[in-house]
Amino acid sequence: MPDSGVGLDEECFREHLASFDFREGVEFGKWGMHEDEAVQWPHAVIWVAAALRGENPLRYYLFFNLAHYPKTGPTAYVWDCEKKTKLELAKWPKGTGNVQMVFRTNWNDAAALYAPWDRLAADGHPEWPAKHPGLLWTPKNTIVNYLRPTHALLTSDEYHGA
Amino acid sequence: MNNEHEVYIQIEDADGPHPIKVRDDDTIATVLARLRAEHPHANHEPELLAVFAEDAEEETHKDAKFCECHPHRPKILHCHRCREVKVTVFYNGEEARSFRPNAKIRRVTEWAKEKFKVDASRKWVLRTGSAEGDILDADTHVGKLVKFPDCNVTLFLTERCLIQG
Repeated sequence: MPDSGVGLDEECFREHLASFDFREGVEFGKWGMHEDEAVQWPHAVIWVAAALRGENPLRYYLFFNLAHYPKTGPTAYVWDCEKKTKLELAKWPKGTGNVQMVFRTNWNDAAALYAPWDRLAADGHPEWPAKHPGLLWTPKNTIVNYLRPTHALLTSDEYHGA
Repeated sequence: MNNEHEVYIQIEDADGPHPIKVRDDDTIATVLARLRAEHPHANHEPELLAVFAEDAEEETHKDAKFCECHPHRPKILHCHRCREVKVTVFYNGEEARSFRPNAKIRRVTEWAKEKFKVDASRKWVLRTGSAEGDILDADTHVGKLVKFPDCNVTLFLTERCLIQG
Protein backbone atom coordinates (compact mmCIF):
# COMPACT_ATOMS: atom_id res chain seq x y z
CA MET A 1 0.00 0.00 0.00
CA PRO A 2 1.59 3.27 -1.07
CA ASP A 3 2.12 5.89 1.62
CA SER A 4 -0.12 8.89 1.16
CA GLY A 5 1.98 11.89 0.33
CA VAL A 6 4.86 9.78 -0.91
CA GLY A 7 5.60 10.07 -4.59
CA LEU A 8 6.29 7.13 -6.84
CA ASP A 9 9.98 7.99 -7.06
CA GLU A 10 10.38 7.98 -3.29
CA GLU A 11 8.30 4.84 -2.95
CA CYS A 12 10.48 3.08 -5.51
CA PHE A 13 13.62 4.26 -3.73
CA ARG A 14 12.31 2.89 -0.43
CA GLU A 15 11.60 -0.44 -2.12
CA HIS A 16 15.16 -0.58 -3.34
CA LEU A 17 16.44 0.14 0.15
CA ALA A 18 14.60 -3.02 1.23
CA SER A 19 16.17 -5.10 -1.55
CA PHE A 20 18.63 -7.87 -0.84
CA ASP A 21 21.47 -6.09 -2.60
CA PHE A 22 21.15 -2.91 -0.54
CA ARG A 23 20.63 -4.75 2.74
CA GLU A 24 23.58 -7.03 2.05
CA GLY A 25 25.77 -3.95 1.62
CA VAL A 26 24.49 -2.59 4.94
CA GLU A 27 25.15 -5.89 6.65
CA PHE A 28 28.72 -6.03 5.35
CA GLY A 29 29.35 -2.43 6.34
CA LYS A 30 29.72 -1.20 2.78
CA TRP A 31 27.08 1.53 2.96
CA GLY A 32 24.03 2.69 4.85
CA MET A 33 21.42 5.41 5.12
CA HIS A 34 22.27 8.48 7.16
CA GLU A 35 19.08 9.72 8.73
CA ASP A 36 18.76 13.49 9.07
CA GLU A 37 15.40 15.19 9.41
CA ALA A 38 16.77 18.23 7.64
CA VAL A 39 17.31 16.17 4.50
CA GLN A 40 14.04 15.85 2.67
CA TRP A 41 13.01 14.07 -0.50
CA PRO A 42 14.16 14.15 -3.28
CA HIS A 43 17.39 14.25 -1.30
CA ALA A 44 18.94 11.51 0.77
CA VAL A 45 22.31 10.96 2.41
CA ILE A 46 24.00 7.58 2.15
CA TRP A 47 27.41 6.82 3.63
CA VAL A 48 29.89 4.65 1.77
CA ALA A 49 32.73 2.89 3.56
CA ALA A 50 36.33 3.58 2.61
CA ALA A 51 39.50 1.62 3.23
CA LEU A 52 41.58 2.55 6.25
CA ARG A 53 44.26 5.03 5.22
CA GLY A 54 46.00 6.47 8.27
CA GLU A 55 43.79 8.95 10.08
CA ASN A 56 41.35 9.34 7.24
CA PRO A 57 37.62 8.79 7.66
CA LEU A 58 36.33 5.28 7.25
CA ARG A 59 33.25 6.50 5.48
CA TYR A 60 32.17 9.28 3.22
CA TYR A 61 28.67 10.69 3.07
CA LEU A 62 27.05 11.26 -0.30
CA PHE A 63 24.26 13.80 -0.67
CA PHE A 64 21.94 12.48 -3.35
CA ASN A 65 19.38 14.15 -5.54
CA LEU A 66 16.94 11.36 -6.41
CA ALA A 67 14.23 13.30 -8.21
CA HIS A 68 12.26 11.09 -10.62
CA TYR A 69 14.13 7.98 -9.45
CA PRO A 70 14.71 5.52 -11.07
CA LYS A 71 13.65 6.86 -14.45
CA THR A 72 16.19 9.62 -13.92
CA GLY A 73 19.47 8.53 -12.42
CA PRO A 74 20.86 9.68 -9.08
CA THR A 75 23.48 12.38 -8.75
CA ALA A 76 25.51 13.00 -5.62
CA TYR A 77 28.37 14.91 -4.09
CA VAL A 78 30.43 14.36 -0.98
CA TRP A 79 28.68 15.73 2.09
CA ASP A 80 29.70 17.04 5.48
CA CYS A 81 27.00 15.66 7.73
CA GLU A 82 28.01 17.84 10.69
CA LYS A 83 28.01 21.14 8.82
CA LYS A 84 25.20 19.93 6.55
CA THR A 85 26.85 21.17 3.42
CA LYS A 86 29.14 19.96 0.67
CA LEU A 87 32.33 18.56 2.15
CA GLU A 88 35.24 20.97 2.01
CA LEU A 89 36.97 20.14 -1.26
CA ALA A 90 40.31 19.57 0.44
CA LYS A 91 38.70 16.68 2.34
CA TRP A 92 37.34 14.83 -0.67
CA PRO A 93 38.82 11.38 -1.33
CA LYS A 94 42.14 11.41 -3.12
CA GLY A 95 44.04 8.84 -5.07
CA THR A 96 45.13 7.71 -8.47
CA GLY A 97 43.40 6.28 -11.53
CA ASN A 98 39.63 6.33 -11.35
CA VAL A 99 39.59 7.52 -7.74
CA GLN A 100 41.38 10.65 -8.85
CA MET A 101 38.86 11.16 -11.64
CA VAL A 102 35.62 10.26 -9.89
CA PHE A 103 36.38 12.48 -6.89
CA ARG A 104 37.92 15.32 -8.84
CA THR A 105 37.06 18.72 -7.45
CA ASN A 106 38.08 20.83 -10.43
CA TRP A 107 35.01 20.01 -12.50
CA ASN A 108 31.66 21.83 -12.43
CA ASP A 109 32.31 23.17 -8.94
CA ALA A 110 32.35 19.57 -7.64
CA ALA A 111 28.61 19.41 -8.19
CA ALA A 112 28.70 15.62 -8.54
CA LEU A 113 30.97 12.62 -8.66
CA TYR A 114 32.70 12.58 -12.03
CA ALA A 115 31.51 9.07 -12.74
CA PRO A 116 29.62 7.34 -15.56
CA TRP A 117 27.07 6.15 -12.98
CA ASP A 118 26.30 9.74 -11.90
CA ARG A 119 23.51 11.35 -13.91
CA LEU A 120 24.88 14.88 -13.84
CA ALA A 121 28.35 13.82 -14.93
CA ALA A 122 27.06 11.41 -17.57
CA ASP A 123 24.74 14.04 -19.05
CA GLY A 124 27.76 16.08 -20.10
CA HIS A 125 29.64 13.17 -21.64
CA PRO A 126 27.88 11.67 -24.66
CA GLU A 127 30.94 9.52 -25.33
CA TRP A 128 30.68 7.70 -21.99
CA PRO A 129 27.99 5.17 -22.98
CA ALA A 130 30.35 3.76 -25.60
CA LYS A 131 33.42 3.94 -23.37
CA HIS A 132 31.85 2.62 -20.19
CA PRO A 133 28.94 0.39 -21.25
CA GLY A 134 27.15 -1.20 -18.37
CA LEU A 135 28.20 1.50 -15.90
CA LEU A 136 25.74 4.17 -16.95
CA TRP A 137 22.38 4.51 -15.28
CA THR A 138 19.33 2.86 -16.79
CA PRO A 139 15.81 2.97 -15.32
CA LYS A 140 16.20 -0.71 -14.43
CA ASN A 141 19.04 0.11 -12.05
CA THR A 142 18.78 0.54 -8.32
CA ILE A 143 20.73 2.78 -5.98
CA VAL A 144 23.09 -0.18 -5.50
CA ASN A 145 24.33 0.34 -9.07
CA TYR A 146 25.62 3.71 -7.86
CA LEU A 147 26.95 2.52 -4.53
CA ARG A 148 28.83 -0.59 -5.67
CA PRO A 149 31.32 1.06 -8.05
CA THR A 150 31.77 3.98 -5.64
CA HIS A 151 32.49 1.63 -2.76
CA ALA A 152 34.80 -0.45 -4.96
CA LEU A 153 36.90 2.66 -5.67
CA LEU A 154 37.02 3.77 -2.04
CA THR A 155 38.29 0.35 -0.99
CA SER A 156 40.72 -0.09 -3.88
CA ASP A 157 44.46 0.45 -3.91
CA GLU A 158 43.79 3.58 -5.98
CA TYR A 159 42.29 5.29 -2.92
CA HIS A 160 44.94 7.06 -0.85
CA GLY A 161 42.86 8.87 1.75
CA ALA A 162 41.45 12.36 2.08
CA MET B 1 14.30 -23.01 18.13
CA ASN B 2 11.89 -22.46 15.31
CA ASN B 3 12.15 -18.80 14.64
CA GLU B 4 10.59 -17.14 11.67
CA HIS B 5 12.95 -15.02 9.64
CA GLU B 6 13.40 -13.71 6.16
CA VAL B 7 15.42 -15.19 3.34
CA TYR B 8 15.83 -13.97 -0.21
CA ILE B 9 15.45 -16.38 -3.08
CA GLN B 10 16.94 -15.77 -6.48
CA ILE B 11 15.33 -17.76 -9.26
CA GLU B 12 17.50 -17.98 -12.37
CA ASP B 13 17.54 -14.69 -14.27
CA ALA B 14 14.27 -13.36 -12.86
CA ASP B 15 14.01 -10.00 -11.16
CA GLY B 16 14.64 -10.25 -7.51
CA PRO B 17 15.74 -11.88 -5.33
CA HIS B 18 12.38 -12.22 -3.62
CA PRO B 19 12.04 -12.11 0.15
CA ILE B 20 10.09 -14.88 1.85
CA LYS B 21 9.40 -15.74 5.47
CA VAL B 22 10.75 -19.11 6.56
CA ARG B 23 10.96 -21.08 9.78
CA ASP B 24 13.99 -23.07 10.78
CA ASP B 25 12.24 -26.41 10.33
CA ASP B 26 10.87 -25.60 6.89
CA THR B 27 12.42 -27.76 4.23
CA ILE B 28 13.87 -26.21 1.12
CA ALA B 29 11.08 -27.91 -0.89
CA THR B 30 8.46 -26.28 1.31
CA VAL B 31 10.04 -22.88 0.86
CA LEU B 32 10.20 -23.29 -2.92
CA ALA B 33 6.58 -24.37 -3.11
CA ARG B 34 5.51 -21.39 -1.06
CA LEU B 35 7.59 -19.08 -3.22
CA ARG B 36 5.96 -20.48 -6.32
CA ALA B 37 2.55 -19.73 -4.89
CA GLU B 38 3.56 -16.18 -4.00
CA HIS B 39 5.58 -15.37 -7.12
CA PRO B 40 4.26 -17.61 -9.92
CA HIS B 41 5.85 -15.47 -12.63
CA ALA B 42 9.32 -15.83 -11.16
CA ASN B 43 9.38 -19.50 -10.36
CA HIS B 44 9.68 -22.88 -12.03
CA GLU B 45 8.75 -26.41 -11.05
CA PRO B 46 10.53 -26.68 -7.69
CA GLU B 47 11.71 -30.21 -8.47
CA LEU B 48 13.67 -28.90 -11.47
CA LEU B 49 15.60 -26.33 -9.50
CA ALA B 50 19.03 -26.88 -8.02
CA VAL B 51 19.49 -24.86 -4.83
CA PHE B 52 22.70 -23.28 -3.58
CA ALA B 53 23.39 -21.20 -0.51
CA GLU B 54 25.54 -18.14 -1.04
CA ASP B 55 29.18 -19.10 -1.63
CA ALA B 56 28.38 -22.82 -1.34
CA GLU B 57 29.95 -25.16 -3.85
CA GLU B 58 27.63 -28.05 -3.12
CA GLU B 59 23.95 -28.21 -3.96
CA THR B 60 21.50 -28.11 -1.05
CA HIS B 61 19.13 -31.07 -0.88
CA LYS B 62 15.50 -30.09 -1.00
CA ASP B 63 14.56 -32.29 1.90
CA ALA B 64 17.08 -30.51 4.07
CA LYS B 65 15.61 -28.30 6.71
CA PHE B 66 16.28 -24.69 6.17
CA CYS B 67 18.41 -24.44 9.29
CA GLU B 68 20.62 -27.33 8.08
CA CYS B 69 21.47 -26.04 4.66
CA HIS B 70 24.21 -23.70 5.74
CA PRO B 71 26.45 -23.33 8.80
CA HIS B 72 24.74 -19.99 9.34
CA ARG B 73 21.25 -19.14 8.31
CA PRO B 74 21.56 -18.28 4.65
CA LYS B 75 20.38 -14.83 3.71
CA ILE B 76 19.90 -15.86 0.11
CA LEU B 77 19.33 -19.08 -1.80
CA HIS B 78 20.14 -19.34 -5.48
CA CYS B 79 17.80 -21.59 -7.45
CA HIS B 80 18.53 -22.53 -11.00
CA ARG B 81 17.73 -25.24 -13.50
CA CYS B 82 21.37 -25.06 -14.62
CA ARG B 83 23.34 -26.97 -12.03
CA GLU B 84 26.50 -25.68 -13.63
CA VAL B 85 27.18 -22.77 -15.93
CA LYS B 86 29.92 -23.21 -18.49
CA VAL B 87 31.77 -19.89 -18.69
CA THR B 88 33.98 -19.29 -21.72
CA VAL B 89 36.28 -16.28 -21.53
CA PHE B 90 38.13 -14.71 -24.44
CA TYR B 91 41.25 -12.62 -24.12
CA ASN B 92 44.26 -13.58 -26.20
CA GLY B 93 42.74 -17.01 -26.64
CA GLU B 94 39.91 -18.90 -25.04
CA GLU B 95 39.51 -20.58 -21.67
CA ALA B 96 36.47 -22.31 -20.25
CA ARG B 97 35.34 -23.90 -17.02
CA SER B 98 32.13 -24.56 -15.19
CA PHE B 99 30.92 -22.57 -12.21
CA ARG B 100 27.94 -23.03 -9.97
CA PRO B 101 25.18 -20.52 -10.73
CA ASN B 102 25.81 -18.80 -7.39
CA ALA B 103 29.42 -17.94 -8.32
CA LYS B 104 30.08 -14.22 -8.57
CA ILE B 105 31.76 -12.47 -11.49
CA ARG B 106 34.49 -11.41 -9.05
CA ARG B 107 35.54 -15.05 -8.76
CA VAL B 108 35.31 -15.68 -12.51
CA THR B 109 37.49 -12.62 -13.13
CA GLU B 110 40.15 -13.88 -10.73
CA TRP B 111 40.13 -17.27 -12.44
CA ALA B 112 40.39 -15.67 -15.91
CA LYS B 113 43.24 -13.36 -14.86
CA GLU B 114 45.15 -16.37 -13.63
CA LYS B 115 44.41 -18.46 -16.73
CA PHE B 116 45.51 -15.74 -19.13
CA LYS B 117 48.44 -14.72 -16.92
CA VAL B 118 47.59 -11.04 -17.24
CA ASP B 119 49.32 -8.32 -15.23
CA ALA B 120 47.58 -8.56 -11.87
CA SER B 121 48.67 -5.05 -10.92
CA ARG B 122 46.32 -3.66 -13.57
CA LYS B 123 42.53 -3.52 -13.29
CA TRP B 124 40.49 -6.06 -15.24
CA VAL B 125 36.81 -6.46 -16.00
CA LEU B 126 34.61 -9.01 -17.72
CA ARG B 127 32.21 -7.91 -20.42
CA THR B 128 29.27 -9.52 -22.14
CA GLY B 129 28.67 -9.74 -25.87
CA SER B 130 32.04 -8.49 -27.04
CA ALA B 131 35.24 -6.85 -25.86
CA GLU B 132 33.33 -3.55 -26.09
CA GLY B 133 30.23 -4.94 -24.41
CA ASP B 134 28.66 -4.17 -21.04
CA ILE B 135 31.00 -4.28 -18.07
CA LEU B 136 29.74 -6.77 -15.52
CA ASP B 137 29.43 -5.85 -11.88
CA ALA B 138 31.77 -7.98 -9.77
CA ASP B 139 28.84 -8.98 -7.55
CA THR B 140 26.72 -10.37 -10.40
CA HIS B 141 26.03 -14.09 -10.11
CA VAL B 142 26.73 -16.12 -13.24
CA GLY B 143 23.32 -17.77 -12.95
CA LYS B 144 21.73 -14.45 -13.88
CA LEU B 145 23.56 -14.54 -17.21
CA VAL B 146 22.11 -17.78 -18.55
CA LYS B 147 18.67 -18.98 -19.39
CA PHE B 148 17.96 -22.70 -19.15
CA PRO B 149 18.35 -24.92 -21.17
CA ASP B 150 21.36 -22.98 -22.47
CA CYS B 151 23.74 -23.08 -19.52
CA ASN B 152 26.63 -21.45 -21.37
CA VAL B 153 27.87 -17.88 -21.31
CA THR B 154 30.68 -16.20 -23.20
CA LEU B 155 32.56 -13.32 -21.60
CA PHE B 156 35.45 -11.08 -22.60
CA LEU B 157 38.32 -10.10 -20.36
CA THR B 158 39.51 -6.53 -20.88
CA GLU B 159 41.44 -3.94 -18.99
CA ARG B 160 39.23 -1.50 -17.16
CA CYS B 161 38.91 1.84 -18.96
CA LEU B 162 40.11 4.92 -17.17
CA ILE B 163 37.50 7.60 -16.76
CA GLN B 164 38.72 10.61 -18.68
CA GLY B 165 37.58 14.16 -19.02
